[in-house]
Amino acid sequence: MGTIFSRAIKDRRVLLVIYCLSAVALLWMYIALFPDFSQVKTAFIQTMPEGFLKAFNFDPSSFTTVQGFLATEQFSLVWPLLAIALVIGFSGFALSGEVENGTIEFLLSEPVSRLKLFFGRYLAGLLMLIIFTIISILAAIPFCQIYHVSFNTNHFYTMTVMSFLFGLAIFSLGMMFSAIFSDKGKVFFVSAGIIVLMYVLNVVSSLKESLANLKYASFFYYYSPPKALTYNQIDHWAYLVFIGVAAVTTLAGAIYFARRDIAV
Amino acid sequence: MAVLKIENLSKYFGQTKAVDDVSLEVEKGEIFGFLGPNGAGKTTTIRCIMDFLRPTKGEIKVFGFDSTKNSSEIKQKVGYLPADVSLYDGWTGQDHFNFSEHLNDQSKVLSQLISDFNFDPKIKFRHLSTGNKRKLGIILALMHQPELVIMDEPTAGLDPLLQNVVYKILEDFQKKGSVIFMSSHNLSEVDRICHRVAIIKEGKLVTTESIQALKAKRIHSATVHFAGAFNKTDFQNIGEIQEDLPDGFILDIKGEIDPLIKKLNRYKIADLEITHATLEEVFFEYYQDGGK
Repeated sequence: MGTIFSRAIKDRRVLLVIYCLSAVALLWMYIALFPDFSQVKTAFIQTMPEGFLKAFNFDPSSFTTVQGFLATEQFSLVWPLLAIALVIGFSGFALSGEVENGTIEFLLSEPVSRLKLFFGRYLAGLLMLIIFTIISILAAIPFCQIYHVSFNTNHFYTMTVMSFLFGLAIFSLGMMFSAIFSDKGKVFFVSAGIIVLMYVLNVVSSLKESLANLKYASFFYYYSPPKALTYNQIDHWAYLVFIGVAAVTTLAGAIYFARRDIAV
Repeated sequence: MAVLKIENLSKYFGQTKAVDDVSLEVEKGEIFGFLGPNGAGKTTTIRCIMDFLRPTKGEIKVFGFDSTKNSSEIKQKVGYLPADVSLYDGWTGQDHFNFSEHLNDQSKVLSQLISDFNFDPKIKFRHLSTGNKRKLGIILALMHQPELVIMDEPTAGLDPLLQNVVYKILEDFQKKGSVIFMSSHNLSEVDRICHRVAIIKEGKLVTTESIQALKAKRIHSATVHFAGAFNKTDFQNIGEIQEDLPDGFILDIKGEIDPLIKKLNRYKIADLEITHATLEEVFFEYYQDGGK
């Protein structure tokens, strides 16, 4: 399993570096701009409708701190997009991409069980997610020090944990689809479709009272950067939902992959 | 104990019976040919042996192990060459060898195989020609000196010189104790190196016989030149007239040739040639009427 794991990391390392650098560059930009823009931005945000702010995780009162600023600018949309692209991209490549390219026959002709292949790839993706999450969030700490912006380290740690759990749930969902489909395009399409639907549910639930319960079906309700970065909190249900989804989809993916026909 | 034992293997894809109740055994020391045209079920059978596909019915034992339950143990002893060699575009040949060596032991014959095939392991897979991709696939299949080599069309895409190299290497492996199970369209290849063959038709096994036994089937071709007048209808019950000649015909006979000889005895014969059918003719015979 170690060979499968290390080779997967080696093959995707350039992509991981690109994603990390992109996220760090954005983080750097926002922190560098924070002192100048904080006042202007607060005034601008206050002109927006309350429902809109709620739907997109904007917290007007949070613009007085760099954590609040980053929660809105970086972690409400840009970071999730990067994380989703990274983990769905990896999961598509991990199994269904191998079936689609025919390379799965080479892998499975070696003395490696299907479960070892599945978990070797799963752990490689997990490590990439951990590296990306840590670098793309905790890089904020040295930047804040460089630009003399006051911050609370613990809030960034909380954000790292929540973001990792959010990424883990999406990655596990992607791996399950990768175990099921023989075409990585289907993995991207179905996973992205589900994530967009969840995002829409979260937005819609905040716009109409009668649809408020729909938010519980969305990862974006549990993934709340303002809560984590500004108030240093993670919803207890977030642990249950993210870890529960990750466990169920991983197990389902592993079982299906061990039993399916690998038709090229 | 048979090295490979397939019992009542069936594999259905929906309503399509890709393989239907196939049973065969491959013994130690054999080079076994698996013959059949496209779509006959050869590749599906091989994929079931390799546990890429799960049988709908039946079971496959390799070295006594169940191909599904003990797949990874079996693959420690098996080298596999697929019909289409699909490997990692961004990896060199050496990357593939290193990967395989990490999952197995270090190869003792890799350098020799690279030299035998005149293969450059530093080139990325995407830049290799079709023939060189095939060479890489063959080296990967053989580099750990497997006890069972499973090859789907081993020489497809190779020039005749390289085909000969492959035949020689396979024969060397067989002499050292490996068992070779290979599918092929190439009858002369099968005739040259295989000891036994199985013929598969529309998912069903038609026959499993030694090459010698197959060729020794009483399928003859008789070319008769008469010295005078003759009545063609006298011979229609004896065999099938394949070609009319100005002074005779070419007749294919299944079974005893004694009736032909007795019939010819009534005529004045200018020339007569009776030959055994080639493997190719035997193969087509099976495909025309199922070998019955």
